[in-house]
Amino acid sequence: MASGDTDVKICNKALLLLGAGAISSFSDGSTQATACSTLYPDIKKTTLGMYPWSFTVAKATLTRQTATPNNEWTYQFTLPNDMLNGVPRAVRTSSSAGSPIYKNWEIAQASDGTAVLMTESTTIYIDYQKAVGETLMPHYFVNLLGYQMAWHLAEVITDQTTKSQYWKEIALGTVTENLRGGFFRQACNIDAGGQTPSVVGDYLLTDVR
Amino acid sequence: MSRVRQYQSNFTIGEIDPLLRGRVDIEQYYSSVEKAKNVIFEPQGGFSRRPGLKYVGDLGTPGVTDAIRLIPFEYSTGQTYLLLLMLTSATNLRLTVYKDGVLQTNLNGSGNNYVDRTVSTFTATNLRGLSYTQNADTMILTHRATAPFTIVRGAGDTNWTIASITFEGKPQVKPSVWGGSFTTFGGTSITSSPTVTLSATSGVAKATFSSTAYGVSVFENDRIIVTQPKGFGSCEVVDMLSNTEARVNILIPFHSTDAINASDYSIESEWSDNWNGNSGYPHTCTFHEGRLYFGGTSVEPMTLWGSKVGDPYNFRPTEGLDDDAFQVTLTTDKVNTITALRSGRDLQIFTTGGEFFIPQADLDPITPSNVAVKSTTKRGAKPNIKPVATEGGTFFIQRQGKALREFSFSDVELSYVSQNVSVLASHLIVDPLAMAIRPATDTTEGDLLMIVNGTSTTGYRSASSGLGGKLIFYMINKQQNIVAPSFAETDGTFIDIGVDLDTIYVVVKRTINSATKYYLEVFDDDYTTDSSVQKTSSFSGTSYNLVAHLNAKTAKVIRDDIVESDVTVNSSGTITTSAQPSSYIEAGLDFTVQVITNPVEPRLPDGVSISQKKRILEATPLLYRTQNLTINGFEVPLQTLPYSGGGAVPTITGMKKMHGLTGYDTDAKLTISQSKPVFFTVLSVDFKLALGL
Repeated sequence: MASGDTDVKICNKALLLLGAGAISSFSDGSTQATACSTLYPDIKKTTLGMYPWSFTVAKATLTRQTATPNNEWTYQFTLPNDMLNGVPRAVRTSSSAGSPIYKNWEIAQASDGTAVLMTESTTIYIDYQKAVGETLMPHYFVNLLGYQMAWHLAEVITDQTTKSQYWKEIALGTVTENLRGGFFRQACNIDAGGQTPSVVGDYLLTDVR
Repeated sequence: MSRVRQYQSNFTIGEIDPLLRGRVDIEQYYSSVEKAKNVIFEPQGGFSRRPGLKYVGDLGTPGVTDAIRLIPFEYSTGQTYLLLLMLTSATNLRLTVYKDGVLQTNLNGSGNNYVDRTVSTFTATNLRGLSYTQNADTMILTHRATAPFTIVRGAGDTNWTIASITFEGKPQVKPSVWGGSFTTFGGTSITSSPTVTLSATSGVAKATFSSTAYGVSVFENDRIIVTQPKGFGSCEVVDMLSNTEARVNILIPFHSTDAINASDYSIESEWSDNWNGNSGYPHTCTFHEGRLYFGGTSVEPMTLWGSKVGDPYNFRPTEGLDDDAFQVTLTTDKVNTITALRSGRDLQIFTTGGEFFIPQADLDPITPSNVAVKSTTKRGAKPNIKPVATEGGTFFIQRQGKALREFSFSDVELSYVSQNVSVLASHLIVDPLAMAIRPATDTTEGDLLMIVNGTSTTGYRSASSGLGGKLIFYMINKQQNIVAPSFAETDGTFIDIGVDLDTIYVVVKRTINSATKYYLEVFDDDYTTDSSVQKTSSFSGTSYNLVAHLNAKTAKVIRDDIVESDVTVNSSGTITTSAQPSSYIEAGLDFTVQVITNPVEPRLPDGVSISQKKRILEATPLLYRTQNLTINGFEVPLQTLPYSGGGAVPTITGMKKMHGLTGYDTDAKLTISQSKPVFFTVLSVDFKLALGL
C-alpha cells in the first residue's frame, strides 16, 4: 500500500507530470486547485470502477426490507451505501466458504425509488466494489490515478491539447486498444497477479475428455 | 507541446512601470524586468547584487527630525571631503567633516569634532533646500531663510570655519515712496496724515511733523519732496531729532515755511542694500564664468544676480562695463521661483515655472549689456533638490516630484529640452528628497544617479507603494541609450545621500533595539551586507566584538567566503564564527535581492502569446563571479567537482542550467534571488518555454 497518499498528493503528482506548480490544498485559490477539486472526485470513482481492483472488493450481508416488491420477486434487500458501481460482483445465499454463485436476483427500483436487490432468497451475501480512501490505494493504482488526472488536467492547466492526448495514451492506451491499454493494463496485471487463478470447474462435457 | 528557446541578453532598461505590462510591442520590454530590488544594473547588460553598506559612524540624533545633509567638498585633486550638516536644534547648524570615510576630529584645535553656526529657525526642509557652490577652499551656501555664509577649509584637514559673507557691495533696492496714491512706506501701512513744517526755505532747516506717524528709522536718509500745487521743493533728512522732528538739508528751495499738508508732499526712501531680514536672502548660488550668481529671495523670487567678474562678493553695479555686476528678472506668464542654478554649457536656471538659460552668441561671455534669460521648457523643477549633472545634461526632478528629467541642449531645436528620463519607470520616484550622481568609474562604465525617496506617499500611484524611504538607482549611459533603474532597500530608511568623487555616502535611519539611530554608511563593493563591519587582520579565536551598533539585530556573518550561522547581536556586538578567520570576517544586516523578469512574450510568427499559458521549464543564467543565486526559489547548484564539502562558497563564471521549473501561467516569469549574502552577477538568461497546442 502506498501509505500516506492523499488526494492533494495524487493531484500534485499529476501537476508535476504536466510541469505545473504544486497546490497546498484543494482550496488554496490557485487555478490548479480549482481544477483539481472539480475533476478529482469523479475521476477517482470512475478509475476505481474501471476494473474490479482487488483492494476495492468487499463482502457484505444484506438486510432484508420489510417492504416487498410489487412484481415477480418476493423479497427486496438494501444495498450498501459505499457501493461504487451499484451492481454486486457476486451474490450468494450462504456465508459458508465455497458456496455457489446465486443468480436468481435483479437490481431494480423499490417503490420509494431507491435501488434494491430483489430476489427469491431470504438471505443474501454479496461481493461488491467499495470506494477506497487514498491512504489504502496501492502504488499501481495511485500511479494510474495520477496519469488519469494528468490527462484530464492537461488542457486546463497547460493550454496544450497535445499534452492531454499524450497523457491519455499513457494512462489508457490508444483507441485501437479500446482504451484498456497503457498503464491501465499494467495496473490490471499487477492487481490480478495477487488473485487466485480461476479454475474451470467440473462439467459433464469436459469430464469425458 | 512546442518548445521555444528565449534569450534575454541584457537588462539595460531596468525595472519598468507596471503600466507597461501590455507593451510587448516596444523593444524596451525585452531589455527590462518587472522588479529589481537591491541590484544594480551593469551598463554592459547584466545585473549584480548591490554593494553592501559599510558602517562609518553613528551621527547621534538631530535636534530636528531627519535634518541631516551630506555635501561633498573637493579642495584639491586628492583632497576631498564629505561635509555633514546637521541641525542640532532649530537654530544651530553643526558641521562635521569626513575624509576618506574618517571623521576629522578636534577641528580648529577646539577639542570638538564639529563647528557650529547659528541660523534663524531652520527646518529639515530648509536644510535640504540649502544651495551650495564651491571654489577651491571656499564653499558658499545660501538659503532664503538665512544670510549667505561660507565654509572654508583652512591650512589642513581639521581647519574649518563657517562665516557670514561680507559683501563688498550688495545690489540696491529701489526707493520706497509714500504719498499720493502710495499708502505704504517701507512695507508699513500709513493711515494718518501729518503736516510738515520747515523752519527755513533753503539751506539747513528743521522739519517738524504734526504727529508721530512714522517710525524714526523710516526717515533716516530719506527725502521729503514737496509736489505741486504748493511749488516744488526737496530736502534730505540728515538726522532725526525726535519722533516728530528731523534736521534736513534742503536740496531744492521750498516756497514758504508754511505747514505743508500730507497730500502735498511725498517721502522717498533712499536706495538701500538688498538681502537683509526684510527683503530676504538669496536662495540659490553657483559660480559661472568668473561670476558668482545668486538667484531668488523671498521678496524677489524670480531675480538673478551676477557678481562682478573675478570679484564674487561684489554685486553692486557701477559703471556698467562688461565685467560689472547685473541683475535680471525672469518674467514670463508664470511664477518662476528660482529653485536651482547650474553652471553647465550655459548658465541654467531652474524655477518652479520652467527652465531657463542665458544664451551666449558666438561663445561671448555674459555681460550686463548682453545678458538675457531665455525660457525653454515649462516643466518646473522641484524645490529643495539640487539638480545633478552628467555627460552634458542636467538631471532634475520635475516640480510634482514624480518624474526625472534631463535638461540638455538639442542641436535640432537649438534650445534646451527636458527629456523625461523616468518615463518607463516613474513609479519608482516617490516624494524625492535628495539626488546625487556617482560618475562612471574605472569599474563601471555608467553614471549612477541616485534618488532618496521620502516616506510621504500621498498623491502617488499604488504601483509606488512600498517604495517610500528607498534609494532609487538609475544606471545611465546616454551614448548607449542605457537608463536602468532599480532600487535599494535596507533595514531602515534612507535619509540623504552624498557622493565624494566616487564614494557614495548615505545617511540611514535605523531602528536599533527600539531606538532610532542615524548612521552614516558608505556603499562598498567589498561588502555584501548593510551597516556592516569587516575585520581583516589580528585574528585570534572565533569571537569578535564588531557590531555593537547593531545591538539586538540578527546579523549575517561571513568568514573567508564561508557564510556562517546568523548571530543575534548582543550589546557588545559580539560575532562568533565556527573557526578562526584567516583573511576576513564581515558582519552586518542582510538585505533581500529580487529580480523578477517581465512576463515572457516569445514573439512567435503567428502573433502575440500574451494570453496563452506558458511554462518556463528550464533556465540557464550566464553568471559572472557568482557565489550564490536562486531561481524561482531553487538554489542554482554552483558547486563544482570535486565537491568541497560546504567550505568556502565557490565563485563561478559561466553557465549553470536549472531544469524542471514548474508552473503554467499567462505571465510566465523568472524570479532571481539569493539565499546567502554573497556576490553575484547575472549577465543574461537563456530559458526554454513550453507553450502552444
